[in-house]
Amino acid sequence: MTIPRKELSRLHEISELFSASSELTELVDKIAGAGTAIANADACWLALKVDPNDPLEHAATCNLATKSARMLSDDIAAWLPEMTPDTDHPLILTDLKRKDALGKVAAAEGYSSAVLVPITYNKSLTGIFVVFWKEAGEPPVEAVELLLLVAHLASGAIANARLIAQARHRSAALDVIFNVTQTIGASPRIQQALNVILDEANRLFGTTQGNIRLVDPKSKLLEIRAHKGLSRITLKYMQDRPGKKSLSGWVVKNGKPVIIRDVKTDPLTAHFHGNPDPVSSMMSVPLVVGSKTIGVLTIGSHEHREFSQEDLSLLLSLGSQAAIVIENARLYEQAKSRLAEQKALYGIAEHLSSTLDVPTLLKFVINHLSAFFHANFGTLRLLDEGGATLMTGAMYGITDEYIRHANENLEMSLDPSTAQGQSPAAACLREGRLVAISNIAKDRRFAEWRKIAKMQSFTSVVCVPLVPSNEPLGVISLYFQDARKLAPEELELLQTAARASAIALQRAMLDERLLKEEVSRRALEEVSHLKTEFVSLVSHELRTPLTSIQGYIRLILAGHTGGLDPVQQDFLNAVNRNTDRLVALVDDLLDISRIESGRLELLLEPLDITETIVNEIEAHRSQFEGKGIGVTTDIQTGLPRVKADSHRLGQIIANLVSNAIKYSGEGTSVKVTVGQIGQNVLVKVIDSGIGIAPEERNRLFERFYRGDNDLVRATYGTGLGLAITHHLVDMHGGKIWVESEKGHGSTFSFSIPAIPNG
Amino acid sequence: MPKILVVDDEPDVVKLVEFRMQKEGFEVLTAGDGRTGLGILETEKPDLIILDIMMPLMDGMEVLRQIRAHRASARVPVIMLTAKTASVTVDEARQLWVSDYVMKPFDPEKLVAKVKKALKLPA
Repeated sequence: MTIPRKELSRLHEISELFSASSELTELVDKIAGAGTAIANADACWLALKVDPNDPLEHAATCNLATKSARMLSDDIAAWLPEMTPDTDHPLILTDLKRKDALGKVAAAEGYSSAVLVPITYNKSLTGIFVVFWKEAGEPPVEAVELLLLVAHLASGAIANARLIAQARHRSAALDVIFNVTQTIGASPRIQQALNVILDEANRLFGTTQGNIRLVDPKSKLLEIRAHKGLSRITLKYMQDRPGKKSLSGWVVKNGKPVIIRDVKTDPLTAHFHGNPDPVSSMMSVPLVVGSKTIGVLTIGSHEHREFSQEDLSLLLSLGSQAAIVIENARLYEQAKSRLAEQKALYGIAEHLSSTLDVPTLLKFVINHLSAFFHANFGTLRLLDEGGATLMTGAMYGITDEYIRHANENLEMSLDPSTAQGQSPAAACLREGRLVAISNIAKDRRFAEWRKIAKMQSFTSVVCVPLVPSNEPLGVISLYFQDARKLAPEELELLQTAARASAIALQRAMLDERLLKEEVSRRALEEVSHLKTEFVSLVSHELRTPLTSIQGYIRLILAGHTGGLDPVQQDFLNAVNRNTDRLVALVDDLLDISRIESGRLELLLEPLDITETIVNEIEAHRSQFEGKGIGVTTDIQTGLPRVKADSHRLGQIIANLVSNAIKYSGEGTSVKVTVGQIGQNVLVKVIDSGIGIAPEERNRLFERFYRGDNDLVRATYGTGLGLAITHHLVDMHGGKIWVESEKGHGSTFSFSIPAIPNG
Repeated sequence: MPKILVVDDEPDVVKLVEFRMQKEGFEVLTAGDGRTGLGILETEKPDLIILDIMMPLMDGMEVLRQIRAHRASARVPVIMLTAKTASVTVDEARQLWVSDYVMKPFDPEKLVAKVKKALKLPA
């Protein structure tokens, strides 16, 4: 589609306007306003879905009463036809005389037509744009196309604003958790707390030794976190048995507390034989959070003790204190790292939405994501226009030397029969989802790619597609030299960041395209300007010698240099005629060039059109007589004056009169009538010449068009006269048309606005 | 006998106008550029000036401004020879009181008619 220049720069402004607001409420108002303005419409209503499964709800209006917006919103199911989001088709309604809410609003506010434009995101309908016109009939095609573009821009901007709001909200919630856990039990105090609990337990029961072991969330092995009264040998012994085959292991596995009255005879402590630390009786309790056992608290006495169930309950409650401290600390750590992540994401999202320069954006995205996930290097590849090849858009951590070596990888085929098409990036795009490979050497799917991976010395790779709304734009790949498995939260974060990046990128790319189109349009204008300059110059240069040629010939023909014999007279007449033709051609070319470049200016003044007509007929008197054509006039008296450029009005009449002479047979007649119709003066030039076929009538006013018959071919003409005449009548605010029948003459009529009471 | 000054940078045009005006019985003074034309005005008092608009060094409009600035020539009728390309300057020429325009290329007979009209001589 071609966008007119004015609208193009307007779209560019809109794109910048949208990207400047990250607040949804502010953004929807801007969308409604911009849509109405660019479509030259009278009002607009914007409805959005909060969630994909929610109904459409009122979001913003432009020039529409609140009452109307409410009516539309409340009754939306009744009047809104089903919109198909994947086709992006707007619905044009030229008849708003309906009984539903839409009809009532149109009647109340005086709208005659409307266009419903779907706003889609991720292949589903997220909103709808209803634009109203007071004027009846079909809205202009360009307006509808521009609205589609605005809807497209709006879709990205809305998604972006929501993403930012979400990130802002989440980071605020995490801030609260972070502060709470920090006050309950800050990380440096966890060890202290565990030590206190262990000391308290020993003091309470008069025991001499004990330990707290925790289950490592990743390895599921038991880790000693606090201990008392244990020799180095015992500690080593315990560390070497971090699994289930120990007392602590039994407690974790069964989730039950246990009393060991005699270490020597109890089967659970059979393996204690040879233990250098003297211990006789023990108690061991699980540390439980919710339904999960996270560790074990054990105390022991080197004297024999008869621990009671009451003792065990007491130890259990101490254990639950420890569990709380540990859980708090874990939450604190988690909150801290998630907060950092969310803050980083929020920062990225905010920066993304404020950048419209594509290369800057590409670099920003790949640099920040690579650094954020501690990747050794990263690439951002973009699909080319055909969608068959990936082009490298930006890279991180890759040296120039490496680029020279792997130059062929800068452009990557997606064809699955090639090695490149087998790459994780290609697979990610084909499948349209994240691909994470923790060790490429062990992954069967990428056997073909292994060699390249080895050459580039990476072990792990994560690829995430860039999908702004429906179609993918490209893929981000992060490479790690060591085997690296990203946690689910990290993958989720990467996907969120990729989505935000994709939206920003799409907007920037659209903006870049708009800018490019504007630049090429300006270049075209420049060329057209040069053309006009050239034609002006050439025509002046031609006119100078023609002035002398024509002047001297006419001096001789007028007899000022003495008499001529008939042959000399005849030949000089031929020279004179051809000079006239050349002058006419130069004039026509100059006129059409100035008209096309909009540089032809009229000097308007009140004129009596009758005088101009009489003058022009007089000027053509010899041509009429030459062909024996009779000319009559029928001029209404008391005609109002017209506002016209006298030279150009004369040119219009001269063109029509000379055409009538050219295309009429000898001995026929031409009639010129002038009258008034309404607020216009109407001039008709009626001939009884060859006439014009219906199929030629439409093309008559095109430049360089000449009728297709022998008389036309035999008659001199540039094919510019009627085109110029048409433009000149237009510029005077009038209309020109022709009625004709092949073989029965033609009537050319033009109207020109009269000066009221003039 | 009316005296006419012709100012044009094209010698052929000057000669053409001079020839035709002399045929009409007028006395003719000629200048090939604006400055020379203004120089002639310091000593001569023509009854009419035929002035080309598009001239190098000093264009016709500037010459016209200077003609009007001198008391001696402030009211001399001036006929401008114009190229069609110069329509923008017509407004200004109107303010500087131009008797008539002749569009190049021109028919010498029409020029004669306009000169006679400006000099209020019978056609």
